[in-house]
Amino acid sequence: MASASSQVLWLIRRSKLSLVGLFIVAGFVVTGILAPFIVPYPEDARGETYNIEERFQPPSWEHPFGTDEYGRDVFSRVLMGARYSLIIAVGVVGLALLIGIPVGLVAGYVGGRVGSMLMRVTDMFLAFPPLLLAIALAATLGRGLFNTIIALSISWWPWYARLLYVRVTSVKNMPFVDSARLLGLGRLAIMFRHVLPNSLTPVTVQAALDMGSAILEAAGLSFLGVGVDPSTPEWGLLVTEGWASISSAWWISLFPGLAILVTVLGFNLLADALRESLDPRIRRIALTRRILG
Amino acid sequence: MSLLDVRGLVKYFPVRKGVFGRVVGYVKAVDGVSFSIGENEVFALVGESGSGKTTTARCILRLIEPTRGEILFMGRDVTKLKGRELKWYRRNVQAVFQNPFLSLNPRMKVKDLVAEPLKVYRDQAQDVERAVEEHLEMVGLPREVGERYPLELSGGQAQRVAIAKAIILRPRLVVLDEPTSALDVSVQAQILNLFLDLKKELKLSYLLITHDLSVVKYVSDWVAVMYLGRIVELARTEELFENPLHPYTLALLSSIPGTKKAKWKRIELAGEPPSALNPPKGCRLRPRCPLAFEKCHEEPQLVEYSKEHWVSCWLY
Amino acid sequence: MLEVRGLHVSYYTLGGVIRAVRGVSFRVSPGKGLCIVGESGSGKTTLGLAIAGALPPNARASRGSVRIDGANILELGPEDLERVRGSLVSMVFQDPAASFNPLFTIGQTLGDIARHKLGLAERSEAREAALAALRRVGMPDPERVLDAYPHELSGGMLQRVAIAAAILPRPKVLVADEPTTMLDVTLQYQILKLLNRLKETLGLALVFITHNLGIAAEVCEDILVLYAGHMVELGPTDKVLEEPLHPYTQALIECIPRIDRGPGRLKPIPGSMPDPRRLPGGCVFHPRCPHVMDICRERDPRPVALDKRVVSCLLYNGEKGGAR
Repeated sequence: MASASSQVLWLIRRSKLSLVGLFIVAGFVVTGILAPFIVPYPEDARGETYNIEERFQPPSWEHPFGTDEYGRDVFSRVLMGARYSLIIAVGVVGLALLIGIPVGLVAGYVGGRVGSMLMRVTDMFLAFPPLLLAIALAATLGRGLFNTIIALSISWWPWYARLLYVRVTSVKNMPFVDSARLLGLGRLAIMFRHVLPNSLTPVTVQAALDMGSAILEAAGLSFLGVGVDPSTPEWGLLVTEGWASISSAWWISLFPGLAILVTVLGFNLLADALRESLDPRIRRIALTRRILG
Repeated sequence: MSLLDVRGLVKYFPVRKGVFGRVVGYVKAVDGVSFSIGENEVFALVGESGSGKTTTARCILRLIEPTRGEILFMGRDVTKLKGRELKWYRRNVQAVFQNPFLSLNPRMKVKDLVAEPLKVYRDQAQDVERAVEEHLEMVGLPREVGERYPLELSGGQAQRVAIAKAIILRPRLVVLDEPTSALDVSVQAQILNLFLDLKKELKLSYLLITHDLSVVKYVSDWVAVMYLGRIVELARTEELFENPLHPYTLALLSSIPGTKKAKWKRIELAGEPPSALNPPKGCRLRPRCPLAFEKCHEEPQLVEYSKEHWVSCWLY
Repeated sequence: MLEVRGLHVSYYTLGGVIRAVRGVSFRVSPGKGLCIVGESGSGKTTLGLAIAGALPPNARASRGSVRIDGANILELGPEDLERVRGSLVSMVFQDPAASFNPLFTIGQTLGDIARHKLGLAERSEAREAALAALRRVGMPDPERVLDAYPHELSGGMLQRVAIAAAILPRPKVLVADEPTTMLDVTLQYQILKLLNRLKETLGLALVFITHNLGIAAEVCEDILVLYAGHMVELGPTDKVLEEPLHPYTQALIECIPRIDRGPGRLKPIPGSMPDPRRLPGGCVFHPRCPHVMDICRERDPRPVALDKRVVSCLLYNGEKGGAR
C-alpha cells in the first residue's frame, strides 16, 4: 500500500468534497473521544438531572440546541451521543469485519467443499432482509448498547464475507499469485501477503460506508424501542424522545437528526474518496500517460 | 546431460456441464509433447493461442499438474517432488511473465518485491539490501527505483524488476512466457539484449514461450513449433530458419510482415484454428492446410528428417 | 479526401494538461492508405480519435483542422458529429469484442446501424444491407453469422464483423486502430489483405494505426511516424522504410527483430519515452538521438520537405547542409 502521507495527499488533491468528508469524520471521531470532557453540562449529558423550570427551552446562547422535556441541555446530549454512535459504528463494523473477512478469505482462497459450505451459511444469512434480522435479534437479546452491536453485526458480516469472497476468487488467479507460488511460498503466506492485501479495497470502502449506515440503523433500532437503554444519549433515542413534542419543541429531535445526517454524509464522502485512492489501477489511470495510447 | 527433459507430456482439462458438473469432454491442451533443454541453452516454444505452449510452461513450473508424462529436471521427476525437494526445484526454476503489472504484487515496493525470494530462502547470511541494489543494477535500473511501486514504472522498467526478482536466487532455468509482447519495440530490444547478457553472465537456460518467430531468431538455440497441443517441427534455430519444413511453420513465417521476398514457400492457412476440445482427426492442420492430401487423414509422427531437425508431416 | 492540418490535441486532467498531439499535418486520398506508426505515448490513438470525431470529453483539439471533403469535423456540434460518425468517418478498434453489445445478435447490431445511418426503415432492407456488408468483408456463411451472438464468434471473425459494421454506412474515411494486434499472427495477414482490398474497391481513405512498422509496409502507400506527439517523418512507405531520414525512424527500424538477421544482440534505442508532461526542450528526441547537436537542445525542428517527404529534424534544416 502506498505510504499513508502520499495517500492523504492524493485524497486531498482529488477533490474538495473528499476533504469535507475527511473533516466531518475527523470531527466526529474527536468529539466522540473527548465528549465527556468538553460537554457544557456533563450531568445533563449523562441523563442524571431533571430541571423542571428549564423544560422545553428553545435554542439560546446558554443552550444552543435548546432543552428537552426534562430540562436537559440538548447540545450536551448530542455531543455525548457522538460517543455512543462512535462506539456503535466501530463496534458493529469491526465485529462484522472480524467474522466476515476470515469467512470470505478462506471460502475464496481454499474453495472446494469448505468454501462452498462457508458460502452456503453466508447465503442463509443474506436471505433475510438485514434490518429485519437485526430487529428480530435485538428484540430477542434485549435492550442495551452491547446487544445492539451484536444484533447489527450478525446481520452485517455476511455482506463482507460475500464481497471479499468474490474479490479473492479473482485475485487468487492473478499472475502475481503464480509468481508467489513459484517462489515456493506456503499457502498461508500467499493468502496473507499477496491475496488479502490486494482483495481488501472493496471491503474497506464498504466498511467506511457502513460506519454511517451502522449509526443510522442503531438509531432506527432505538427509535423502534429495541436499541440501547432508555436514558442513554444515543442519537436515535434522542430523536425518539423529542418525537412526541415535535410540533412545539422541534429542536429536541432536529439537532440529533442533523447530527446523524451530517455524520452519515461524511462517511459516504470519505468512502467515495477511499475507493479511488486505494485502488492502484484507478490511481494509475489518473496519474498516467496511458491516455496517450 | 540435459537440464530439463519433458517426455510425453499430456494435459487435458475436463469440460463440465450442468448442475452436477458432469464431465462432457476434455480440452486436449497439450497432447504428447517431448523435448529437452541443455545447460546454458535457450529453447523456444512457438505457437499461436490454443497451441498449448503456455500450458506446457505451466506444467513445467508446477503451477498445474500434468495429466500424464514426465518432466525431469537434472534427472529428477518434477511431478513427484514434495516439500524440501520441491523448494529446491522452485529455487532453480523461475519465470518472467508477459505483463509485469499483473505479475508483480501492486502493493509491494520494488525493493521488497526483489528481496522477497531471498527472504523465502533465508539460508545465506547475505546482506539483502545490497543484493537488491546489485540486482537492480544488473538489470539496468537505478537504485532509487527500489522505493517505488510497480504501477509507477514504465512497462520496460517493470519488466526489468520482474527479471531481477527471477534471477536473484540464481536459478538454472528461467521460463520466459511472452516476456516482450506487452512492450514497445524499442524497449523489447533492450529487454531481449538483457536476457542475452544475463544468460552469458549467469549461465542461465531459458524456455522461451512466444508467438513471434523473429524474436526467436535472435535469442534461441532450439525452436519447437506447436499447433493444437502437438509439436509439429523441432530443430536448431539456424536450421529451422534456413530450411523450414512443416506447412504450419511456413505459414507462421509467411505471416511475418515484410517478408515478401523470402526464399521459402509462402503459405496461407485457410480459416481459423479449430477448438482443442475437438481437434481434427489425423493431421490436426489438415482442414486449413493448402498442401493436404489423402494420407493426411492418418496421424503423422514426429520423425527426424535431417540431423537435429524433426518434423511431423506426411510430406516428408 | 481527408486533410489534417496543424492539428494539436490536449487532454485536461487532474494532473495537468497533457499535449498529446502537437502539430500534425497530412492528406489521404480516396483509395489510398496512410499508416500512423508510433510507440505507446506517441499520440497515435489520440490522433485517430480526433480524425474519427471521437475524442473523449476531457480532450480538446486546440488548434488545426481535420477536413473530410472540405468539412472541418472539429467545428461540428454534438448532433452534427453524431450524424457524421459512421457515414463520413468510421473506426475499427483493437478489441472487437469491446465494440459489440453482448446481448444483441450480430444481425441486430448491424441492422441498427443500417436503420440509423442508411435510413432503411424496412426490416428486410436493413437485413439485406447487413448481409451485403458481411459478404464484402469475405465472411463465410453470412446468414448464420447474422443470428450469432458476439461471444459465439472467434476474435478473427468478430474483427471482420467490426469492419463490416464500420463500412456499412459507406464512410469516406476509415480509421483502424491496431486492428490486428489482438489476433493470432496467421489471422493478422487475412485482416490486412481485407483492409487493403476494401480501401481500393470502396475508395476509402484508410488511416491505419499501428506500433508495428512491418505491418505498415503491408497496407499503406504512406507512413507517418509519430514520436511524443510530434510528426517525425511522413512519406511514401518504401522510401521511409528503406531510406529513413529521421534518426528516430532509423533507430526504430534498426531495433525491430528480423528473421533475416540474428542471432545476437539487437540495437535498441537508448533511454525511454519521455514523460508527456515534462517533455525535453528543443527537439523532443534529442536525449535519445545518436546524432544530437548542440542546437537540438534549444530549437524545436520544423517539418521540412525533402526527397518526396516531410521530416522534422535539424540535421535537414540547412544548418549543416542536409548532411547525415
